[in-house]
Amino acid sequence: MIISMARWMRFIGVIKVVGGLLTGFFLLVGVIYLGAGLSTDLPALGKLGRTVAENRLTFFALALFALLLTVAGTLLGFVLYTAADDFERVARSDEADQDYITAGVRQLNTYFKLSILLGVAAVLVGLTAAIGLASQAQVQVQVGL
Amino acid sequence: MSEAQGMSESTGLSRIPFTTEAESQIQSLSFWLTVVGWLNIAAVVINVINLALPTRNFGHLINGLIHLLVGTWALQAARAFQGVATTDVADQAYLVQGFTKLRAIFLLQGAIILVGMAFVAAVLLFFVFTPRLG
Repeated sequence: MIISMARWMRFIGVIKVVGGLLTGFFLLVGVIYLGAGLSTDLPALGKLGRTVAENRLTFFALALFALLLTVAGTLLGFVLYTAADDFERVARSDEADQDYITAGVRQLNTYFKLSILLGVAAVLVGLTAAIGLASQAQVQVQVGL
Repeated sequence: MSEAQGMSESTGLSRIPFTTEAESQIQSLSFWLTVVGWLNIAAVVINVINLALPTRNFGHLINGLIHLLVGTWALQAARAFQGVATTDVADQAYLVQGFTKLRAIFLLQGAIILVGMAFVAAVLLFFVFTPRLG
């Protein structure tokens, strides 16, 4: 049962690491694209391009925050993978079981603690950005732009 | 108490001599699992509200079910680890229970990832092998 748990933890850890690296790559490409289109309305993005062009600083800040989240997510994947290693050692060896359980539990603590904090931060930042953009759009509609 | 005694009699060590630091780590894990559990229960409530709105869809039901399972298992695991840290009546049994619930959570998450990957692969194959219209 502990080996089975460790296998699934390892699988999720690998997916998080690989997914995080891929997401970080595409985010960087997006940030570079935004930066390269500094003086344009980003016509390739259509209506969204105009919104992004008018709120470039906001979207840059959001992209940087997303990049931070991606890096943190990748690290969390590594933490989960390490915890899986510790729990597998508990099951496969008969030496220092308590130490391995303690080490694994410590990694799981870090994993759940940071997952919750990052999730809450992401929701708060997302809500703040959405409210800010929505109110700005409302003002523009009222002014008649 | 009687449940723990029953567990102790049938399933191994009543006390595992964890160090103070180890017990503190286990108690901390119990706390964070409790937070995870209640956040998932809150997500279930939000999904139920979404189901009552006109914009409801089948995804809200599946989402709510997944959050309910994860939340329940997280709270059960938290209770089990709390038992390891604060009592000396059935440490091994509580550990096994805690790890069983954690395994269920990670298994569910892993299964969701596999289903998602299969779906993405199916969509990619569809676009690669379907002749373009017009």
